[in-house]
Amino acid sequence: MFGIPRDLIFYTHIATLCAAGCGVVIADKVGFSWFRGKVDTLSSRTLNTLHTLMGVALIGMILSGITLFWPAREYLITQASFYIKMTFVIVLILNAFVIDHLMSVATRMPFRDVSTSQKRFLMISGAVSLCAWVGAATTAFSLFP
Amino acid sequence: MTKWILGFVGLLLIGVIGYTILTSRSTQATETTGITSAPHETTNPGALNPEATTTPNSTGSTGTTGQTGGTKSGYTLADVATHNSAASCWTVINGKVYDVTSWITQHPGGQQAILSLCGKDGSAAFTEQHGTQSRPNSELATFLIGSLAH
Repeated sequence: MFGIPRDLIFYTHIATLCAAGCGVVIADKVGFSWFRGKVDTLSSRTLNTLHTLMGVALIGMILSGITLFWPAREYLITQASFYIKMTFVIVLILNAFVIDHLMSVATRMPFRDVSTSQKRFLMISGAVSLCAWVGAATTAFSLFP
Repeated sequence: MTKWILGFVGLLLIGVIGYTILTSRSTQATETTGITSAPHETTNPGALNPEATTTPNSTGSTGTTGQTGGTKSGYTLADVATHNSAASCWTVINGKVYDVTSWITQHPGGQQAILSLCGKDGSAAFTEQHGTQSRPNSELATFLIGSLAH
């Protein structure tokens, strides 16, 4: 597509996925250290850097994904697993906005001082993020067995 | 800034998929309309010829991808044979029909290998070259447009 070799786009997609996977692991590690009380607050610079990196990785995956989708669109729109994967992607995009809204809490106060409702939102958001990344990646493999 | 770009890209994704689904459905609807109008076109029995008789059958049912020439049970070899050039290259591999036009210029083994399969049943050539290799078979799956009519 657009004269770009298909393999290059495919490997860019996979490389971005690996980068995003590393980002998820690091973000979860940092988040758990705050959650378990090992640190009282998190550095806003670290959080912003991680959040931006994950956002860029997600943007890269979506753009390369659209480029891969286009030549195979007639096949893909007939596959249920494609729609499941896209649901995960939409969830990731929406959750990125939720995380953007919530993450500043970790820079202001220790986890123990966070209100119960905010704790619930934070934990649900983290779990949704992890599940959606794993779900989107796993579903992709069933598209091209 | 990143989140707004992400939001825009998300909308772009939804737009591209939505556009694809809508265009696919409208093409199928056009073909369905073709079925219902076909009997009216044959009100003059004298105009009916053997080819016209087959037309309602070959275009009368909805193809799996909305491409012309599809049938409920799939594409015929005659349908595939009309797509025998670099401009539109269809091939049959193991009973399934693939539109490999966009793959011609990207095939690692060269364009000629794909061009030689255009409009034909390429099962033997593909199996001989790639057999059960997962990557070529995965790539091939992305070009699937339907099944071969039995």
